[in-house]
Amino acid sequence: MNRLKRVLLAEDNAHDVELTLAALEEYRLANEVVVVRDGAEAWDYLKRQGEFAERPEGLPAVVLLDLKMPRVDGLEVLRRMKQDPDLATLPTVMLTSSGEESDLVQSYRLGVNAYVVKPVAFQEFVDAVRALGLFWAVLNEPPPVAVRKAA
Amino acid sequence: MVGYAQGSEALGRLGGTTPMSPDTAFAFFALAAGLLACRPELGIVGLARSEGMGGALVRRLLPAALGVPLVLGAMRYRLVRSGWLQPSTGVAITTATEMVTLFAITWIVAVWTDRLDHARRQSERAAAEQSEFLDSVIESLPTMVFVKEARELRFVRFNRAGEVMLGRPRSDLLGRTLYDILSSEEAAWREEADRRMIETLTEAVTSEEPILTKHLGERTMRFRRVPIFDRDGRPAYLLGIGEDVTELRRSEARVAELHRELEHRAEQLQASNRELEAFSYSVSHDLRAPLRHIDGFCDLLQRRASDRLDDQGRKYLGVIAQSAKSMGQLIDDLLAFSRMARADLNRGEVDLDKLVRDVGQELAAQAPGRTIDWRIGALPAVSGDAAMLRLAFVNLLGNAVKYTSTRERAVIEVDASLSNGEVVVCVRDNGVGFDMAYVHKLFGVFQRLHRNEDFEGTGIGLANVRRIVHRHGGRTWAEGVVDGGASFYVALPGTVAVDAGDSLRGAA
Repeated sequence: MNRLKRVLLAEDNAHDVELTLAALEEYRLANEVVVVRDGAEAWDYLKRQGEFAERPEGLPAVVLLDLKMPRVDGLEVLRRMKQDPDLATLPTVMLTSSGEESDLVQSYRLGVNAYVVKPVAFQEFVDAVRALGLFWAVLNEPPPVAVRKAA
Repeated sequence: MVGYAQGSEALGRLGGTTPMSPDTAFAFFALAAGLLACRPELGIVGLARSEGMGGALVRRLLPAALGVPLVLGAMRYRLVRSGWLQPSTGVAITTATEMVTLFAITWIVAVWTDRLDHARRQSERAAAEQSEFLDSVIESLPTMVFVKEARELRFVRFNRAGEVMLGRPRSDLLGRTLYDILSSEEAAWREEADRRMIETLTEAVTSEEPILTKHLGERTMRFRRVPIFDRDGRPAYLLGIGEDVTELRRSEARVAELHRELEHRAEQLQASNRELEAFSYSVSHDLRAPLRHIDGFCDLLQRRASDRLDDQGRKYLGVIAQSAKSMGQLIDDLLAFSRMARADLNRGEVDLDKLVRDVGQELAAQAPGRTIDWRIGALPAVSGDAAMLRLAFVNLLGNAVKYTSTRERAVIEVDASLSNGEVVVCVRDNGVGFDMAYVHKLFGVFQRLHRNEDFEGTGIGLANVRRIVHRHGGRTWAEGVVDGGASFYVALPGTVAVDAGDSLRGAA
């Protein structure tokens, strides 16, 4: 079996965090899920700065971003990542409640790898998170930079 | 010369002191004639050349007055000398002949002059009539007309409409310039257009000026000026036409005001559209999150603590989860409905026949175990938004499938007819129907005529159908009988594509 990789989850809503973790746990898809509660924290984690300055080196296999977060929102994190040479190739998935066309268009313009609307029904939500985890954390080969740093 | 002609030596030497030979006399005559001819506009020659009546008389009478006595005198001299006539008889005959000849010539010239005079009087009368006619035309023109001479800009003409307009008689203006009537400052700017036109020799100059009238207060006049040129191409007069454009300008101002108001409204509408956009955004994002939590934690509770709940408790949990799901469905439907209103209409040719058959097949596949008799007639191609029209028919046919679910054998018919430039598509079923008393509620948002336990639904389907059809400029209506089936009609106006006639004839 493949070695499970780290997942970064940026989500401000505690309930959503709990449900997402429950869904990932159900299929034991991620050995480590790092949860940050807004875009600023997500950025600090990715750049190893601020309160994450001491974290172990390496980047997650995938970043799951909520769209609406306090301080710095998901689109802003995505925009900064794509402009940063170290992070530009890091797989990023929008995991959000919004199915608004404008959000979709903007996310894809900024170069998001996938866009998933959280289904209202929990079972569907579990299925979606499972599919995400299975694909990004297991099946997908991350770009070399993430592997090198994770190793 | 007369002496020569009559053989009189005494005439040959005038006064007996100046002897002159005939050729000398002729030379003198030629010299005199030459002198006269070199200044033709002066003296007798001038008169003889004149175009007037005097000239005509001189040209006709002078040759006779000079020629007749000369000829008759010469004849008498020859006849008396040759002895044909006694000198006394010669004088008598010559005198009589002269009298008769001069009388005849005078008479002829008088008759001719009289005739000429008559013709002249007639043409003068005609000219006067012509001028009177032009006068009355100018007087009767319903717009202000004035004429100024081009040098000092004095009024030489001013018509009745102008008098009425200004509320002052033309005598106030005629022979005067604007400087005589107005302050020099006002006159200067009012004459500016006149001067500009005369100086630049422009064809026409239009200006608009406020004018204080006696009876109507301040009016806006539009003046058009045309130069009248003399034979040398210099402007001799200036013809002006003044129109009262007060009402026109007022209504233009009103139109402009309405336009601004409309723009303002459009802005407001755009603002409220943006608000609506923001609202549906937050509905889609914020309202769905708690629902997801309700459903998610219900599920987790069921998975992890189900054994600690009794049947009642598990049932409650199921109801909570189900309610959260149906509220999620309602929100999704409502958002789709509002998007339908905002989305652009992508018009193209839509083959209704294929569209309806496809939708029917899909729905049939989703309802296995049902016996449905689809009777789809030939449908025309129409112009419209394919995705929207498809959604409309998904709703209509979906309803037909849903409300015939209690029938052992469902019959769903779709056909089209052409009337008054509209394509009317009818979807008919043999389902549970509805009470016509509530037909007005049928197409409303969240309006349902059946209990959810009997037939599931959010009540947005037909509202969507109506909205889609309205956006195509069409109409919808329905007929139904309780337990006797329902018919839904969609009329799309003037949207028949080119080849629609054939498929419609096929349907008939």
